[in-house]
Amino acid sequence: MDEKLPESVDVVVLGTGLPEAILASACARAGLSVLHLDRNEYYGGDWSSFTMSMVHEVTENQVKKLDSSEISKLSELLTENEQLIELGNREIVENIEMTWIPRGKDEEKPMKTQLEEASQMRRFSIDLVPKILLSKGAMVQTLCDSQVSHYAEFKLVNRQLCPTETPEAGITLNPVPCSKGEIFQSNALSILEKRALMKFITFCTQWSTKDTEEGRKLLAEHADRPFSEFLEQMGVGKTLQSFIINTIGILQQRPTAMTGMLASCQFMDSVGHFGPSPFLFPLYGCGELSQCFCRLAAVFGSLYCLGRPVQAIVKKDGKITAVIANGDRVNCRYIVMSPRFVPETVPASSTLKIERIVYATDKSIKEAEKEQLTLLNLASLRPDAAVSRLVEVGFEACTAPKGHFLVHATGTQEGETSVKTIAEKIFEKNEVEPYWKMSFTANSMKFDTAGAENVVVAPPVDANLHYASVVEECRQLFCTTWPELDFLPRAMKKEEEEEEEPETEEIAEN
Amino acid sequence: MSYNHLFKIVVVGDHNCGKSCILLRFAENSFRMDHISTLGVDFKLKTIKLGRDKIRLELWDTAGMERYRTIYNSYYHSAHGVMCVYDMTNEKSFENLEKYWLKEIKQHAPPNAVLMLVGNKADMDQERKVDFDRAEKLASRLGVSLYEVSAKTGINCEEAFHTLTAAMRERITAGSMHSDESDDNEEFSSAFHVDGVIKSDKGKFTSCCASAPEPAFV
Repeated sequence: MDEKLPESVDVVVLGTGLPEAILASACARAGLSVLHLDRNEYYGGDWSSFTMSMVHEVTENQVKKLDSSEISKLSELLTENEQLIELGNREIVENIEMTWIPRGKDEEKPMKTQLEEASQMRRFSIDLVPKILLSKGAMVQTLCDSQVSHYAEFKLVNRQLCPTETPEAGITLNPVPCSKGEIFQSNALSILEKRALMKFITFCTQWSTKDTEEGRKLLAEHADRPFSEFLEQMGVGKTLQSFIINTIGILQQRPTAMTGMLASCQFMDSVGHFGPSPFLFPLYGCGELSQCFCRLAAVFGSLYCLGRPVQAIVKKDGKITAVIANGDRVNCRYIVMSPRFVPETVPASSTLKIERIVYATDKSIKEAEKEQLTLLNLASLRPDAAVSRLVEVGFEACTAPKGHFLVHATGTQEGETSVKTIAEKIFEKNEVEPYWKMSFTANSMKFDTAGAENVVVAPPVDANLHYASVVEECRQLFCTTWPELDFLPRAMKKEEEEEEEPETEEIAEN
Repeated sequence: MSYNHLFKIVVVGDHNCGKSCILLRFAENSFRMDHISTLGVDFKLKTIKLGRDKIRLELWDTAGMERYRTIYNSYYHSAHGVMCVYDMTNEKSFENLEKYWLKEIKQHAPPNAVLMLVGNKADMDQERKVDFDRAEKLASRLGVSLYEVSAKTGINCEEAFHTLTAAMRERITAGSMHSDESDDNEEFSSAFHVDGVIKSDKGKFTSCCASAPEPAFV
């Protein structure tokens, strides 16, 4: 299909990653005309999910540089004083390796063959950026306000595991109780530990009612010192300290008492909102959220075109005036772009490397009667690293066929031990044999400028556990660029004009 | 309010063949004469009675994303029924059913979703380009129902949706008898929207109280 693109819009958005989708929906919702383009044939960009059949697409995004004849041809679309600027093609996802793992002679057929024959390859949803939602966090709030909540469904992350490691026993995975009821029933805690934990929770409940200054006073000299010291003076033992810091305090890496308390209160505020766990995972995987925000943008008039390469942008007097896509010129007043497309002449202000490995398995890392969605904070095993975690999701989350799991390992690259090493130790200890794996490096690139004043660079992929920073960065970018417009304002709830069926009909039926 | 079944129907087909108009005709018994195509049409909820059952239908429109063929694959997730629409005054829209839409549906819709073909603009018989026999041959070959409707006049719109709903109910009832088919049904249990609406294990749709449950830590 070669339908023509519009000649002119307010905003062109390049890339359909989650931040670009959020910004596209905010612009469309605010009444701006939006054209949303992606070079790929699928939604999500660097934030995509893939079926097992389609996951190879992640390696096939090679784009050729424009040669001089192409440049001169495109230059015919320029007017006086306009300058053609080639888009960048930065390696946001690199060093990709994907492999099926043979598992020994007792296997009659390779797993790949089994899955293909059973038509199960499409049952996978393999996330490039697996995150969770906090029940009372910024993403849930934004979903509700914008009503994108209609398009997405969620499951509770109903199991948090706390790893401990000893030379004799290796890595043990301990279930973490998240609610009062669970704490009392837990086998992992002694009576003394339960009392200390309840004391801590009571303190948190009281502390969360204070304002910031008052809260700081209550922590006294501990406020900016390690959270573990504060817990110790409260009478919390070493094991429970680790438990509190890495599970209840999971939202804050390397916490001080102040930041640890804030994180713990945030965690507990979300417990019970949708169920005993504070965390949610999107049904069909995290790539779903990009698509949901794109739908909202479309409902408010945004045009969507995938698989059409944007070759260049047009600049005049320090501003972008147009994009050139597939030989068509589209004039625009603003551009929103994924960091991937920032022109190569613009330096990144910072780049963080994130190690990612995805494993497909047919056994859970910790067997249970009913399948669980699982989160493990591995911080205690990699104390030098800012981020280390595992997320295991399977059939219950519609990300794998029945009886199968995807295990996502995510870590920043610090210290001697990689997150991959720990994941594979956990597999070995629990007799889990992955049959497929994909590893890559995600580059979280930030830009102070994009080389023109009317260009918005969307937030990059990041290693954060949840979505708060992505949502808040999008909000700030939107409000800075369009200060007179509302960022995804709360929608009026539609009145469901449902008439009750008259009861007489029921009686007549009987 | 409670229902015996909740079904998701997605409507697909070429741009400008009248998908949104069919949906609006059935859901709200209205027809928009303006030609602002598909702006603002999202999804509609409608409850109908089928025999003794009260059935809640979620009717999903493409929101215009089919224009450049960029419907996202999650549009088809969990769909129980797919209504595939062509414009009978536009031969190309019928040809595109086989060239594009049926392939798209096969790739993305759940394998056990019920498919229906719908030819719109039956009120413009003088301009008809796709005769009934031709469409009926395709429908027979696929083993699906065919309806010729007019969103403008309302002809057959109600009937088409009722027939599709009956087929979905029949398939889900039959499916629960076979363990291999029940895989799809299991996926629906205990998933929820974050605006407070929860689907129960039985597939019924229940609303939470106006306020969310109290947090466990109090």
